[in-house]
Amino acid sequence: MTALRTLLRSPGFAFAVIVCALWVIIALFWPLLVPYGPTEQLLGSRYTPPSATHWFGTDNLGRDVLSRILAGSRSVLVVGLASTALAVAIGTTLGLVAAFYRGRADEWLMRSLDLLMAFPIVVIASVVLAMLGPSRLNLVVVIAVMLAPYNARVVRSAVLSWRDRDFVAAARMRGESGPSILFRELLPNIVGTINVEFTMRLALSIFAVATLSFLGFGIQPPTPDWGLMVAEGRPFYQIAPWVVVAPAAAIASLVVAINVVAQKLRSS
Amino acid sequence: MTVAEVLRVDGLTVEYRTGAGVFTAVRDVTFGIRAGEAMGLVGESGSGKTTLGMAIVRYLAGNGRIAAGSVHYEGTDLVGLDARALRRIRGNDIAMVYQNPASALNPSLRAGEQIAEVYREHLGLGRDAARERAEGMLELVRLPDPHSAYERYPHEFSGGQKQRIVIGMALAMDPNLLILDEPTTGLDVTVEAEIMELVADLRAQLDTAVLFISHDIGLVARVCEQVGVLYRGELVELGPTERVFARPTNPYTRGLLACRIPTGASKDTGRLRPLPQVAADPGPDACSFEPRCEFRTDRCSSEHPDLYDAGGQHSRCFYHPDVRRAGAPTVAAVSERPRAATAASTELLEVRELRKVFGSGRRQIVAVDDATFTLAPGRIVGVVGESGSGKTTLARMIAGLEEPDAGTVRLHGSDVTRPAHQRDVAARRALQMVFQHPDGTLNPAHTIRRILRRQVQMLSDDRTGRDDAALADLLRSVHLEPEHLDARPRQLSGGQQQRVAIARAFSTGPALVLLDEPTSALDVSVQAAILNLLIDLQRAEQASYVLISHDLATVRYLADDILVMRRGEIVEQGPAAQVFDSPQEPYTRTLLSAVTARAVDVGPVVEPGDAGGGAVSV
Repeated sequence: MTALRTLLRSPGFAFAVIVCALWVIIALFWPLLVPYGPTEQLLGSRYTPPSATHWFGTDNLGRDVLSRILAGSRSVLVVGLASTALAVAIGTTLGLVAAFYRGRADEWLMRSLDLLMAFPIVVIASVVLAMLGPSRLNLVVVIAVMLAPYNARVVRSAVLSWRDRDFVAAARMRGESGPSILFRELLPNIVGTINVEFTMRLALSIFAVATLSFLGFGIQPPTPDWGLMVAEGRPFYQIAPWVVVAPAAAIASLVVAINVVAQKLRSS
Repeated sequence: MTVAEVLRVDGLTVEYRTGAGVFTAVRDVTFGIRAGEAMGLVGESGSGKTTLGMAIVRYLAGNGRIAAGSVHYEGTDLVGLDARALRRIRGNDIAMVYQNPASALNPSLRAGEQIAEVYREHLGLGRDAARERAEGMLELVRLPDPHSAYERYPHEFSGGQKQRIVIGMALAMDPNLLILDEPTTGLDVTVEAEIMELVADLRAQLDTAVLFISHDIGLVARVCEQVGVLYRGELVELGPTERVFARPTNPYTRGLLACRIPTGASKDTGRLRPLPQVAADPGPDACSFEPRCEFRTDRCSSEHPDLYDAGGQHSRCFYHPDVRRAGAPTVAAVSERPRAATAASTELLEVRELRKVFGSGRRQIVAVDDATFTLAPGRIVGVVGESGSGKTTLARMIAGLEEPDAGTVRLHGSDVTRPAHQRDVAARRALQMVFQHPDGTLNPAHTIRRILRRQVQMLSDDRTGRDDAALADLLRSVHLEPEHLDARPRQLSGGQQQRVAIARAFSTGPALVLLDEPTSALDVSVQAAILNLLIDLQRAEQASYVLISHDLATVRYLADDILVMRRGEIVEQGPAAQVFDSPQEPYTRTLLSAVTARAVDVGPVVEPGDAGGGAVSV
């Protein structure tokens, strides 16, 4: 707790936490906050530039960009958090198992993960999503599977520094099973590492969600989504730049804020 | 101040800035060392001895600073010196050897070149001349075959050899002052004996002044003419080694000496006298040792003593004449001879032709080779040997933590040669282990309550835990308080952590406890308390111990029988008295002579008692 207090005293960290918290509040309560319905088409007001009535202007169908951004925060955060949680759960388990049992299982596991890591996330994900069809669930699973190896590696090396301590030997001598040693004895000691990992992967995963939506493999129209909004606005960038700039800024603010939090957590 | 003093430390005070405020690690320390003289600094961990050694050459951590005082090296005050001049003195005149030999060597440079570099830098010698001198130094520090040793890299040497190379580097610059900080900690006794002999030789040859920092009183007594005793950053006693250790005038020195195991003593000769462990800081207006002192009066809690002249030595105690008069500390004789272990018809532990090979192909190492021995109920067997002799592997195979390649382990007559978690609950309950490193033995993420409760739960037949009252009793049995149940391991001292580990091992009444270097990571004063505790528990529970230790005094004190291991083989076994007094094997003799050489005339004597069998010579 004292460590957290020290962290919050750093202005960069505090600001980043506030930005993240704002997005979470928006994602939870956007129906109360939006000035217009996110899919509501205001006839006769296509490509309205930012003004007092439409802070971020309107798009090609006359929809309020601000409302769509606020509404779009939910899908980005839900898919991002879900895929990160799944990735960390898979990666942590694999990392624990590989580090604890070592030997051939470790070799096979780590080499397979290396293979997976050799491919860029977005390339593999777009191929898989093209085959499975775009859906929120598929998006979550694909991103999780692609991110898990990174997590597994970090967890494995963290566990390696703990597994040969005498308290593990003491646990074996009282007859603890393998899973019990993994999850009761070792896991609690790497919680800090996992927290940092989670935050770092979250930023990556949100960026991946936005990228895949931009490419058309993620959230489908007319659902408001940041990546999709950038894609939809792109052809009209010359006449209505705000349609692209606003969601891009939203993505950047969230990803950068999470990254700042992750960096500070890691160095503390 | 004597003119010939190489080093003069005056009123040195060192502070560390920490999250909790300013911590004074060294307070107003004053002493001097003359050329060719060796001065020892002894004290428990946390006494500030390493900080003092670092502060002398101004190698303090970033948050440390010299708050007051001066350090004069041949008349120059190092405290006020600019970085360049300081570097020149550190490089040319003062050499340092620190505890961990591996970190002092560059792993990517050949051993000989690291010494040759010193000659090139300091004497401006050419390549060939430097090499010649470096090989000479390798010979001087007694590395076998200096010519080929020159070409080898640090990882190709053993720990003791690496430390010799570091000492060679330190001596290559022909220093006027050599600072040794625990130079042999972690090395085998035989290696330690050689290194200390080497330092003594070199001192005689080169007239180097030596500052020797160690927790090991016996070693300091053997090497140094002068000794300073540090307690909480202060010198509490200072004087000629013989006087200080034979007639201590400070209660702390006396207490430190009293908790040592007397040479040749065994658990039947007498109980050890640990110093009371008190964490409380009495504050600046009291004697720092007051809470633990047996000579304390009201004055001690209201006034801070100076370093008084106590006739030939100096002591920071108001009552130094009383302390001197109290004489050498004694070991309390046991009033009641323990019942001899009943000769049972069945052996508790039978180890048959146990064998373990590590690695494969050409890099195979036979860690344990056909080890066979038996242990009767209620007996303590000590396993001795140098590091790498296979003692720990043997214990881990018995514990079920390492799978043997051949051989059997029988407990109470039934075969338990399989991994610990595959043994039945009765076998697991009967065989427990206490480990070497107190900081690794308890899971830092768990509370003491959780650690003990889980142990009891896993080893009970019905997997029920015990209530807090039972766990509190368990803690009391190892002299800890029930409040410690809520603590996490890092909130406890090393000694307290080891007590919890002992409580864990004894929680379900084991018949056999494996003790792997149970006290080697602890201060002497704590060591004595833990050894007493282990003896009490052993007698109360009628348990057997397999004690693994490189410290022969500890083994001699605890063990009824001895196994001597060398390169994986048991080379000698027999009753402790027989093995120690008339060793049959040449290797055992070498091992013992290394220890006898250390056993100088310090430490407690045994009080004549009705059962003690008279005084034991020390």
